[in-house]
Amino acid sequence: MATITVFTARRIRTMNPSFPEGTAVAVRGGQILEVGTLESLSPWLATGDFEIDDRFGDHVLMPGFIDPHLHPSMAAVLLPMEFITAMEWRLPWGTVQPVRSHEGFMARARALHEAKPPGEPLFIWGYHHLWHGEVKRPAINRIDTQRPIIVWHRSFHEMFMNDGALDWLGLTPEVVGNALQVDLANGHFYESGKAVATQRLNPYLLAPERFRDGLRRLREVAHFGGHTTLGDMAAGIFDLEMEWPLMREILDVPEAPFRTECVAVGGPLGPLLSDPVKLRERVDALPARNTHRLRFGRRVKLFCDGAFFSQLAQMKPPGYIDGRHGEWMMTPEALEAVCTEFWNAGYRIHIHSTGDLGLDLILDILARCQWHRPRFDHGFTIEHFGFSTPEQVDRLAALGASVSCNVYYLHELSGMYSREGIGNERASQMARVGSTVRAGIPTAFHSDFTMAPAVPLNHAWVAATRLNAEGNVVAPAERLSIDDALRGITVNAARVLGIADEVGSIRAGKRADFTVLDGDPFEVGAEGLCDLRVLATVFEGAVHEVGRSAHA
Amino acid sequence: MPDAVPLTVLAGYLGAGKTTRLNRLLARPGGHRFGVLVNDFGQVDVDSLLIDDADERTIGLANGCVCCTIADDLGGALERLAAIRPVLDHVVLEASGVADPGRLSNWARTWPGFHLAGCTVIADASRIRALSDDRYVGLTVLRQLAGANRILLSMTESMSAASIAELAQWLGDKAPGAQVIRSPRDGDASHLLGRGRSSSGSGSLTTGPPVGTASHGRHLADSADASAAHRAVTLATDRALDARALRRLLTAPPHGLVRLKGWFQRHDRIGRMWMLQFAHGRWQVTPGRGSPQPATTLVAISADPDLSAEALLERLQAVQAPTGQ
Repeated sequence: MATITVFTARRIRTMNPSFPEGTAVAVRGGQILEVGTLESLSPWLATGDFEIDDRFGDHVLMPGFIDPHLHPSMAAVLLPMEFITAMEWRLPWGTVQPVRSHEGFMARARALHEAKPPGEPLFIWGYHHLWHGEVKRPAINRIDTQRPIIVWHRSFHEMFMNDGALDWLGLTPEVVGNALQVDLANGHFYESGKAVATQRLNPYLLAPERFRDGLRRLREVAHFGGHTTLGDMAAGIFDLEMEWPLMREILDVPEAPFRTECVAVGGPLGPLLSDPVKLRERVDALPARNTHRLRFGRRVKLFCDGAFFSQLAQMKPPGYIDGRHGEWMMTPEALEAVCTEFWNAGYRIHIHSTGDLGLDLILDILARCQWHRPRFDHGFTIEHFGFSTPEQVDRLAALGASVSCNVYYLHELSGMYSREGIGNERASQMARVGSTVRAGIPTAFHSDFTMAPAVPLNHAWVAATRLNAEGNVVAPAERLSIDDALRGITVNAARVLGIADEVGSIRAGKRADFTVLDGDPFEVGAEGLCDLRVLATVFEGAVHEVGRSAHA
Repeated sequence: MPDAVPLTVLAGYLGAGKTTRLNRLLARPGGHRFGVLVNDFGQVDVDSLLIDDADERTIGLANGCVCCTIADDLGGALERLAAIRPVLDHVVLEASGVADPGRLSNWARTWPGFHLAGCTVIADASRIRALSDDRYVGLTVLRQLAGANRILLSMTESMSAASIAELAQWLGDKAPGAQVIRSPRDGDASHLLGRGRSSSGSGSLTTGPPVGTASHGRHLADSADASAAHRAVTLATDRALDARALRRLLTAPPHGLVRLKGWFQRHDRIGRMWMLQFAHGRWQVTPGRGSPQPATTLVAISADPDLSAEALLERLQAVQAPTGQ
């Protein structure tokens, strides 16, 4: 019989409302035996060998944090790049301080160039014209013309290059001089032009060794943020067969103190679109390859409308201020056909939804699915939940849906979208999670990393304060209590992934996944949540301290 | 560097008939080598006897046509098509039912190796007005129509002449720049490429086979794009060509004639089809297969701003055999 380990702490916040606190938790074989006090645990301790691990005696234990929606493969491409961003990014290898001026951007870029060995390409990510002014080919050339330097816009949808980069990639006037969406004089590649450039960059960006390095960084980021479970909400987004062996090599080893719940995309990607049955059969086959830490389940991801950061959400009237239009990812008929197929097969469906018109369509489809084949506890989840109306919240509750919200949107974008695109009233109410919690809808948070920092306490902080980057509180009526904010990164996140029986709270029988904090989130106040630090995690009973980064 | 391949964006909502016409184009390409980009191979319905080779992303047909699946990597699919030798004659990009053809047209105007030949939208005549009112896709459908330079109406068979005329009128309002054409189910599919048909003003409708008319290739990039001074002219006729006159044209072509490609019948060997490829001063005639309609279709591309489309067409028409032969 394995030894029992008892972890003691200043306080244990279990997130089980029926037994909310303790100061000791007994663990055996990666499983929680019981939480309580040393005294109340004594019947277990009398059964045999036990040891007391009191290294966290001055600290606070919570259930291991869960981010149910991020993208390890995209992170693997992005994390090896240098960050120059308008927001703060706390990464394991250093905190990127915000840069919000043109001069600041140029100075940081020059410093990065000077610190790098000659010849190596320099990729910079995080540029945004509204914060950083104009940074095009002439400006980048002033830093250096020889070294390939590529500045990626924060949205990841456009880039700017210097002479060195254009030479390196063979993007000459003969090749792209007349291309519409390439402004060669400014080294600017956008939309289809960006695809031309990435076509040539991919052999470098997706090279296995670089991808491995990226996944190792992602592994550190996940641990640093205090995660013990991640949701890969588009597993195999580039190429599952290429990615899977590398994911096993880096994320399915003892050095990875977390599990990854994989959710495959059910459409519109790939050549099977016209046949929902074949799409579903393809997804049915995936759990056969599950490992201890990488797990597919009866879950699928679909897309309704366009990206939130690009203002491609489909909006109900009055629409966008400048009359621009959003984007559908599939025709409504095709989306309904695929949804219905997976619904009837008993799947938990996760559907990307950024605009309120798209959400109407999703609600109509869900209502018809329910009409034809009623299900309870079906796990249908709205992913991102950018814009919605109060009436839609009522419908979501009536139809039994869950919400997984990228609540960080409101921090970075509510100010910008108030001024351009959407307007103040609707922009303030983005991510209306106060309403969903009041309506009894299971509400979780995610980062969609790398769209937002992978720091669950940040999401809880935004949800509880509704503070945006400009320092304003937007739609304060939608603020959550600290308890509901923390449920969004623990029990409700587990529920959204369909694994609430296993993780998400500290109670007898669940896996021994904990996050160790240097303070008590219930004592620091809403505004203090983002200042708490993760000191360590415990994953299935094994301690993993947050130490010095291998990439620092 | 080979010539840029003309690319037509083919858009239109679900069920309008894009796939039917694409399948027909692939089965009877009339001597041309077309590349077709689709979202989903499941829709491609070509007699398996026609298939030369196939893998999960590309199907090569015995008639020289190629069908590629986009599979969420349009750039990759375009690269594959651009690399095919000999260079394809024309590429059709099938847009998804909700795609914005304007955005896709930008790919054709950006990707190395291609130029935009036009944007064709297929509309189901019996449904299009109701679709344009749909609360979810109405705006998308209207945007598709407005972005087209050519609209093909399918499913017109059961409509009265009056209702078709009314529809053409409505389209003239929603898509003022577009040419509107009836596209019968069994008709020639090559009209979706935007070649060989007479142009007409907005609000009116053309139909039927062409009779040797000049058609100015719509190079939408012209005004913005300093280097694209090409113009295209099509000779499409039931008449055969005088073999000697054609040879004289090919050995002493008009200045600025960059390409001349297509098929024709010789006046002294009626019933047999020949393929002509002329580019940069060199030409080749090879026997073709089948009997396409019309008997002669030649597309000429000129890069000389002083050689007007009318003058070029006249030169081509001069090669026709006298009528009665």
